[in-house]
Amino acid sequence: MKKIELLAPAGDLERLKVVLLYGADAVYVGGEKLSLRANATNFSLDELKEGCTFAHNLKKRVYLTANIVFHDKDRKGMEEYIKEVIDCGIDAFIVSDLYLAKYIIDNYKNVEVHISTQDSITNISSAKFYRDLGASRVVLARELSREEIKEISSIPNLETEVFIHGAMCTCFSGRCALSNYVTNRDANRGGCAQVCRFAFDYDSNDKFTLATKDLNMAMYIKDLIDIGVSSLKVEGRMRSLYYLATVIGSYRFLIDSIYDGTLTDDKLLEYQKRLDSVANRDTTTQYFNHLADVTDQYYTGRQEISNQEYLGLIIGYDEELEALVLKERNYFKVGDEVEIFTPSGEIYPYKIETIYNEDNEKIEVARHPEEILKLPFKRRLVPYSMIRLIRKGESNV
Amino acid sequence: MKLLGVIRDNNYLEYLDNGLEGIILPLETFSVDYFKYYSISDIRECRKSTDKLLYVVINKMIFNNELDNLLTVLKDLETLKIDGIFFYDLAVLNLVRENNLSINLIYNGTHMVTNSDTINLYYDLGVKGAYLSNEITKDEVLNIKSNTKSDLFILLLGNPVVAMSRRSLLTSYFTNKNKSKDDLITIKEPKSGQEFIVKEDSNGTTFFFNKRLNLSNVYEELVDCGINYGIIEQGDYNSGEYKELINAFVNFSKLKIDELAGYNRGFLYRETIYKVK
Repeated sequence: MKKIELLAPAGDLERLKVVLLYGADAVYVGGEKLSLRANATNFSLDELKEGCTFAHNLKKRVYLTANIVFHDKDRKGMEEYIKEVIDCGIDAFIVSDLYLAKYIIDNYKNVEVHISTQDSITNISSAKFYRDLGASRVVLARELSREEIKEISSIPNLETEVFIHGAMCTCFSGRCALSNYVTNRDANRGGCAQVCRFAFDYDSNDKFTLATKDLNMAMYIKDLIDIGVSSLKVEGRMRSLYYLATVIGSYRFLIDSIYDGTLTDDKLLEYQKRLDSVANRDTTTQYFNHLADVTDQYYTGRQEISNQEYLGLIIGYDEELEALVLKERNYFKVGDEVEIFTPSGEIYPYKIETIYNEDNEKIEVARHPEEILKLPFKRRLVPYSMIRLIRKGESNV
Repeated sequence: MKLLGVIRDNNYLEYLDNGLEGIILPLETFSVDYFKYYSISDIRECRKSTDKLLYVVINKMIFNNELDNLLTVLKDLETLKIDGIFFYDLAVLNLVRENNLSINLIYNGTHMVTNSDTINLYYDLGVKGAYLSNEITKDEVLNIKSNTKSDLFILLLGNPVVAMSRRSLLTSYFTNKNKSKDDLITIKEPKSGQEFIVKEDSNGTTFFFNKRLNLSNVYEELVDCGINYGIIEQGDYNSGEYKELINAFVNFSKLKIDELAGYNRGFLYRETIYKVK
């Protein structure tokens, strides 16, 4: 039986490399045209080519989102662009528009077509329609229960992809134009202003909110494997490197441990906690076990909390000083207890006793994000290793 | 252009006598985004009582446990000789094709009916009509018309549907606030000042724009370019006002329509943006 795929988002080339190094089997990216994240740092053709080469060298795959609901004028240059991105080496398109899906299926046999969650596929019959059209995979609507996912995943010759982590839309994907009416930004062409996270006036005493909590399916990965899902998708092309590294690394660990039979309840809880630690909103399993209800929503205007546990990105090694070179992300100081973690899943507990600045002068406190700093460490670590805070030390500063 | 009505009261025969050439009947259980729904027996009665055009709406997202019932309903509708079904979920198209049902289908993708290529592909798949999105410009409407053989339907007057969720958002909100539940409220986005009607039923929650869309200023142009069907919703008009409105379209009077319906032209001249510099 084919192992389930872990599919990660990447808003740019660096994120693509990070998520693949941290364990994603495939990555989805936006190009400069046709993508629903028009304001992300989307991939140029050169970047796409480099990303595909990087992924294929690791025997991994790249999917390009081409999921806008296009208007006639967006049609200009579409065929040329499709050919160009196929030439870059992408393995699949994630498409919403039926015309675009059919065009690619009819004209290119060497690339897969996956139907976007924008089409809100909620039943076996519509899924079969897309299979018969020639799509190899459907990304299921986020509004489905375990049983509904299982039934659709039983369709022969059709893969299913399911969101497991990240932000949720309040409304059915594709059935929301709140952004158009409030901000004139087109939700279905990549301009979504996330109006569902705004607070609305309702009565003089209160605000009406419709924002949802985020999705976290860590506790149900085994269930999703057992019911025959093909791909587990993480949301968030514009999320930080640290968030992506932590989320993808955690799900990689969980999937591998399930397959080799070593996942314990303690480990599952530990990774659930780790995933919660990088979330900037509360999380739930949304529709998986019951219809989304009062517990899955927010009722206050502000939902996001800032996370300051990401301390730094390791960018090199100072042989002379025997120290990791890092770029600071958040405040830390001598006495703090941290973990240094690598893309291959190694974790080193570490107590900060000395911090050097770029001129090798000892400092007590790192308080300037982007500053280059050094921490004594006996061995070189691979690029994109990171440092996270576990426990703050006594504060004298 | 043939005028079709979406009615909220029980006087559809009067409106058909008054100038509407047909009505649109949202099917109970299987449609969303409307204020009045019809059972199969209601539709049967309508069919018996008029020879004018009758269209049925089946526009909810369909779930697996509804597929059998959906097929039964489609077979019933086939026998009723209705003039077409407005559908959203492709399960409807798939079931009609798989079962060789003789039903005229109209693609009703709400915000997704925005280009002629996709409308033409649906046409090739046997879907001979498309209900245009309310979020496209007048030029886009005209361009689509000049590039398709499909019958085109457009909302001439009514409150546009803005969003639809499977969530019971009002139930959740009032439960959290420990207040008695209301199934219909109006909310306002404070910065833009835009208001939305929020309505919940057993299929979820729909958001409607609280400004009535009124395309009277381009009505003649739409007629000239050959848009096939124009839809006039009754909304909260009483019977007399609604008849006046229908009359104002039949014996075209922009002045009268605007007096009754206001001046919201929607996105006719306002192209939505999607790249923010």
